[in-house]
Amino acid sequence: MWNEESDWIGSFDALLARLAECSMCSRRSGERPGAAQMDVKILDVAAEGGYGRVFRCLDVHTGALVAMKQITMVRLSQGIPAQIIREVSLLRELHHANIVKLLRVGFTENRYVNLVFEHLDYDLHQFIVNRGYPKDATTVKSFMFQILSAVAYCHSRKVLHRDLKPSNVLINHSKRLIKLADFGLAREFADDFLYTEKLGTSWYRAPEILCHSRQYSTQVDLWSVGCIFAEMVIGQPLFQVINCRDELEGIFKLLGTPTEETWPGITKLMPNLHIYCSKFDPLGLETFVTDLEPSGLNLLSMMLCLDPSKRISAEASLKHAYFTDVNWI
Amino acid sequence: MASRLEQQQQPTNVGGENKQKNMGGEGRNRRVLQDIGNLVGKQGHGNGINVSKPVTRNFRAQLLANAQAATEKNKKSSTEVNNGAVVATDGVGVGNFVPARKVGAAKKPKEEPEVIVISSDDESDEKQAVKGKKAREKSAMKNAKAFSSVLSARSKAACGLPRDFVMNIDATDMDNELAAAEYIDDIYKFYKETEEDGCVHDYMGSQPDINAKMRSILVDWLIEVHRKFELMPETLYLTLNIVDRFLSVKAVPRRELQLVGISSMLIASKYEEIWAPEVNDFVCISDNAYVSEQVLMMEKTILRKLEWYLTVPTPYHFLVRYTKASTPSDKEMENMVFFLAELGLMHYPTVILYRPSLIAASAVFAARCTLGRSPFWTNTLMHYTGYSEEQLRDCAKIMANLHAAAPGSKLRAVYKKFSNSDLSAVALLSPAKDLSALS
Repeated sequence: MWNEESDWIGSFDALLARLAECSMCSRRSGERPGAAQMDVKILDVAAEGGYGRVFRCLDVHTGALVAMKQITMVRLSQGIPAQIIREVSLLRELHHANIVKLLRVGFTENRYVNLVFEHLDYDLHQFIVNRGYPKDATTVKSFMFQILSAVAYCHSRKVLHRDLKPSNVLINHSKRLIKLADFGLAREFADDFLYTEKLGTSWYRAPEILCHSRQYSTQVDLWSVGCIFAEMVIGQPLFQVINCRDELEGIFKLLGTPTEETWPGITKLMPNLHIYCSKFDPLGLETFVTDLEPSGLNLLSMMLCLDPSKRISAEASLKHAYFTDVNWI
Repeated sequence: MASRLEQQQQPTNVGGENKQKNMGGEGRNRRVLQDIGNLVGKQGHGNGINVSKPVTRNFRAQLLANAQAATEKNKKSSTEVNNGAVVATDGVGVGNFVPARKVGAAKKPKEEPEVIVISSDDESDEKQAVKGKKAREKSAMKNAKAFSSVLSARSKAACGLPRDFVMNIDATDMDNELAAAEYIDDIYKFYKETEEDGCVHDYMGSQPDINAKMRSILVDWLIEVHRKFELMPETLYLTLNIVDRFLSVKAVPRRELQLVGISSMLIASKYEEIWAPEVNDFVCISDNAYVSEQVLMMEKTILRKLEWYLTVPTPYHFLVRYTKASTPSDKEMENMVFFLAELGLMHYPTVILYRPSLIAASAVFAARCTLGRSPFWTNTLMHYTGYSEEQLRDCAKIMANLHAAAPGSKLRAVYKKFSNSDLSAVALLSPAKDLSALS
């Protein structure tokens, strides 16, 4: 690709030749030890996906249960995938009670990257589908508070998760403790930054991303949290419930088709909005999310706000009246 | 330029209008200060603190102690927090936001950020009450802050120079959802706390085959590669951070130094960019000095050695913030700051002697000196950087000297890059002759 001749492209020896020989120094210091070794014994496959597999394992030294996420390096010629570099380096910095702990990173046969995590019993998706969704308001409230605590912490560390969904929310059954997982799409954010628009699972994807905006911030995570909130209450994905051709139409059916008044900048973001879909009057959240106390519905409406600039933040959500009587189960 | 002492005695000029702020005086309404304690006594009287005194560490501690004592006394008056300023519940604000008068040429009026005035003694109680009421009527959700924020707002008010204002550089971002304004203080507090992790000690002693000059050659070349690939600025800063941290833990033979450089840039690109250059691009750009397998092997080695710690504050994180604090900022100023910072990064002693935030602050200070922005160091900059002019002088002097030496240097990547009109050709401007003389 870069084959044009230039005075600076070339081997390092050629670069060095540009300067006189430099004097050498001969002192040597010891190397810093790497991360502690961890041997694991695979028990069974816990999950499988496009990225690879998750194994339930035993740490042979401590006897503790751990989860090993084995990611297949698809494009071997390109080395370690960017998403693994981001996930690992971000998790090395994020230390919070509601964020999954990364214990070790290793490689197998130059083809797999193994991420060893603390073990949790199941994810929120399994909890909703298999165990009957958390019908009691206390559990929903506790889970929501913990999810928001983790998200607020990430945002205060300048990290966007970008893939929040029930299957990425893990649960410790005995402690009823929630932990955010799968930071594969996470990244540090900046206010003048362009990001990729092809991310997140579509049912939980914020409208600004569905409208192909490449400039977004912490609000995308809050939209996803709102979708999770609704799903915990109604037992299935909110935008799966609404009969429509795609997610964006579903959002507009539920919340009303935006206008320049309700969402300043939408016409610039989506000039063909009027062609794309007819003008819907909002059906209203209360139509679908029926078993939620008024303060909860108020919080949900603030999370599922079309205009990202008016969407509530994680920090502010934690101070919402809905959580005045939150209990740690 | 007047000495700092004299400078403090001058009334602050906001928008071309002289206003006295927080001057001690009898018969003045002092209610605005009740919540942080009556910090400012009558000038020249033994019972008060003379605000003309330079804010040394001891003096700052004294101010803070007095503030805390006074706060204990005034516990009765509860407070609310609005946009980071402490506002007494009767509507009288300590540090209410007062928009500055817009200044600038008639053609292009530049909007100045809002200004935090530590005390507005000359405003009537009625005006203050209305202002406080309006502030409280803003969405409670957006402005809700923890008790620690109240305390930090108090200490900020206590530590600042009472007669000088500090601009709220985030005021204009409150409605910008991309700026994450409510997290910005937490973010930079965290960066300041963790920047040590990204710093390196003097490692050349443990490198038998390479030295500081070779490092400079490598950095010079990497800056060219970075420019050729049209990568984002944060990628360059992370690349150099990875190179230095790796060299500080692993002895590298001279023939592999360029390999370390391209592998570091590959890692940084994967971390920062949406579309990172491919391994082959790096192989080609190094004139096939290495094969792709070597690059991939080195990538793994670097990540293992650094234990995958890549989320580290680099000077770039601070440069963005501090340039914003150097208001009113413009493209020329911004480019000069980045030019000086990159010169600093090429210079091994600068990288090992100074932490990232200090390098960034020094670049801003040196840039202001170079462009003749008066005053060279403002209260706003001191507030947001946490550094005084004295703390920056040595590093800024190095940068000014590097600027002066740049045209004649054999390593011309930074000079060439910033001689470009796209970057305001700041490299071609005269360097700040002697920073010490400019004080």
